[in-house]
Amino acid sequence: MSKIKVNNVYKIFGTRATQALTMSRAGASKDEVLANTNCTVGLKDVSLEINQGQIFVIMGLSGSGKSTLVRHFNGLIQPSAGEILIDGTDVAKLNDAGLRDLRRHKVSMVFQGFGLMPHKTTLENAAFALLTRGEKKEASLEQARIWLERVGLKGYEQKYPDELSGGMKQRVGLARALAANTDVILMDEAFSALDPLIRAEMQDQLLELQKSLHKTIVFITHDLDEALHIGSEIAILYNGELVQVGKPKEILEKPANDYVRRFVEKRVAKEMT
Amino acid sequence: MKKTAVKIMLAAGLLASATLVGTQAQQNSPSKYCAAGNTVKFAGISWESGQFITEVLRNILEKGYGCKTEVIIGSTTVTETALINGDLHVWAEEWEGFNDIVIKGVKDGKAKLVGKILQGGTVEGWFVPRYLVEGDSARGIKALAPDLKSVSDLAKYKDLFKDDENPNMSRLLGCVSGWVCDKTNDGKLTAYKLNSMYQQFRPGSQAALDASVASAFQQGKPILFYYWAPTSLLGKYDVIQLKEPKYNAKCYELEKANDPKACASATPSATLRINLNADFAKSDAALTRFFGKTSFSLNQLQKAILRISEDKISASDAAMDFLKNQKATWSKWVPAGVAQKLEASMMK
Amino acid sequence: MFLNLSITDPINNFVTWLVSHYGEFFHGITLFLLHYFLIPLELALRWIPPWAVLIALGLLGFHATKRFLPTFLFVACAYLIGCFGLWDKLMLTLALMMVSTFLCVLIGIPLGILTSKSNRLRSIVLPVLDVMQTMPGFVYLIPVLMLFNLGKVPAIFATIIYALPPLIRLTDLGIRQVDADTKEAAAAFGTSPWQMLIGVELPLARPSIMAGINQTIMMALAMVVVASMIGARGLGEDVLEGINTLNVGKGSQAGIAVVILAIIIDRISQAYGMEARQRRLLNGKR
Repeated sequence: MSKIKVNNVYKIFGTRATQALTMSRAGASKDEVLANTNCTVGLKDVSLEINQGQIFVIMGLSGSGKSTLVRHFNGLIQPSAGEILIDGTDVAKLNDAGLRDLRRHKVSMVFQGFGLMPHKTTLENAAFALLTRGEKKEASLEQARIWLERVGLKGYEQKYPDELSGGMKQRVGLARALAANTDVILMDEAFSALDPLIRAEMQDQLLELQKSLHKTIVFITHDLDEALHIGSEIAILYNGELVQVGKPKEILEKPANDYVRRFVEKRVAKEMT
Repeated sequence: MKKTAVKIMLAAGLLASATLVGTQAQQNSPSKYCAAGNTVKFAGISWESGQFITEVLRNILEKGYGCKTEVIIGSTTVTETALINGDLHVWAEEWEGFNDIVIKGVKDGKAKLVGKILQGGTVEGWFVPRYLVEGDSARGIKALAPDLKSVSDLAKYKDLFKDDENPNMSRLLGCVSGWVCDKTNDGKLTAYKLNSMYQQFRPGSQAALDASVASAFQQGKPILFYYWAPTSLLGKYDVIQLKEPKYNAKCYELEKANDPKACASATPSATLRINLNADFAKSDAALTRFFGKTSFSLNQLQKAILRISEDKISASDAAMDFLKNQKATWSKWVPAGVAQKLEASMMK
Repeated sequence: MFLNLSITDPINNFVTWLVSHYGEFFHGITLFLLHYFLIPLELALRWIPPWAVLIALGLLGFHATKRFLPTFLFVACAYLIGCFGLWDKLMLTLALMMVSTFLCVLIGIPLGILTSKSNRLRSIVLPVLDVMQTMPGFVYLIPVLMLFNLGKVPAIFATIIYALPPLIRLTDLGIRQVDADTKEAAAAFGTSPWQMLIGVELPLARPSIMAGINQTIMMALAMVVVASMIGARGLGEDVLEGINTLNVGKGSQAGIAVVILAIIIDRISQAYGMEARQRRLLNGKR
């Protein structure tokens, strides 16, 4: 059953978006559009389907549009055209109140730069989503405490973010998203800023948690290893266009084009050394 | 108080800013000094009334007596000293008894004070707007204090002058902090037994004092304020001066010190005179006689000051105005021949 | 070469018109401010015995700085002002400054928030602030005085005109400088604009805003002498009298009292500008 459905989404950055959109739809390349309209095509005709309870990885190099795409899922960025359906509701059509409701109850997010509030304690940060949606303070803090313990941060409740290491900060970020208890969690390069060891540890922890939680997780990364390790399905973006979607195995065995093939080959080369 | 407040600074000694010359045939001059071809040198004065009087005197000397004149600008101290030394001849508005250099100069016989240029002398005291006492039907202002004539009536009308900042007291808008009048006003409030009802409010600067008087008049509101004349402000607004008990030297000294035992006395009027270099005065009886007769009414001086400060006309234009319109006044100061000459020159 | 233009008369006429038609209205504002803010505050400050004020200052100083030496110096310096015989005037100046600062905060912080949200409003407000800061005080002092009557109220308005701009600027700047990623993270959890402002932007802009308040207080104190020129009583009165009578000693004594007051308030408000945690760290290190 599909939880998230993306239909023909375009995203144009720039003032002459309508004109650029028309050109792009007619098949003009990113460079042509830029030359003619001074607009950047961020996403071009992207369609995907993400099933309930899976970890769906969106992969691509920087500039491929993956972070842009994920921000469409909770309305941080609005599409220039197309629709993003979550449980059948088009996010692009929601008003401010509707968007707030979506973010408070349905979709939470973990950020590459952690996005913690520097003036709040670990506990308050973990409870941020709950407090924001207006739940009672005591109950919220209690929930936050439970989730901090689950991600391994018991005893750090009263610390401030600048007193924590990178890995610990991201655990707070994760606890914050998990405490929100939303069906969907967006993870935008959540582990990319961490040391390789910590990163592997976090990946395992995520998989471990997912076993019991069955969230729909959209995971953004530029690292194929990470994608293969945690993804039950992988989508590959290149220059704002979707190139391939498939199970990890399909990606490895049947790369859809040279771009994907280079990714895969690089990985093989790395393993051989 | 004005003399210390307003001074023009001068670098050193005398800086001559020269002016002008009479072109009349000097031989015909009734003045011996001018007939000999000499130039009468005036001290430049920084305030409006002094400038006005200087210009009136100069015009009469030039056009009536056929003299050459010149104005030398300098600080009060510098020009007074120069006058005593004989470098200058005429100081046109001298506040008698205010300047130690002049007091000593007179005593030593080097300077001579002549005339009483302001009829009745200077005025200093407490004022209220005329509309407050008499009303002003044109502006729709009722007479709120019809019986307010002297300081002894203030107790009765204390509610009119309520101090916003201290509602139990009434406000006498007083004297700029640090001026002599500051203490005198407090002393007077004690002496007039008003200090339980009124307190002096110090405006902090003359600009502030003037502005609040102006504001009250524009709104037609009651105001009780300290002021002095001749000044442009009293020329501009129609005021009534509250009567005070007669000047009493001893009482006034106590008031000046804000002594709690002060007795009632008005501020003495200062006499405005013309200060002449003694040698110059001796050498020219005709001119000395003229200077001795010079005398303006307070109203005339106020008007002139007002024209200079408000209409921004020059002191010499104000002087010409006066000479053209107030012949009845100045013709008494000079012999008939001089008056004729002067008038003839103005006809041109 | 130049056209003969002058705005003298229109401005003069406008002020006269304002004074004669709306004098009562402005007088009402004066009375309101006096009776509900200034006079009660002044009465209270002058009624409290000086030793109680000194103790309160000590407690406040220690609460702010958490250190003994500065606290002791604050109290000692305030005591010194009392020794100069200026206690009463100190309280008057303090009351005036507190009311001015309170009004500045009341106006400045909301305005700073609004300008940080709207570039258009900002482009209108900033030039106005430039005018407020550079216009020579006496230009607006006299009309303000004519409208609000001589005394403390015009002094408060003049002080606000002069001391408000840094608070608006620094509030605006502080909010604009809040990290965009932090704000995005907060938004991603569905914060309302109000939650964003109260929970994220204002706390993170706090050092900047406190610096603004500090600046405002300092500038308000710098206006004390100017305020006394329009009849506001207090320490400025003595400075002015010192100037008018060439009594350099008297002027200096009152001047020193103003400086002491400024330093005490500056140190205390700066200490509060730091977050509690920052202060703890700072003290831990010492």
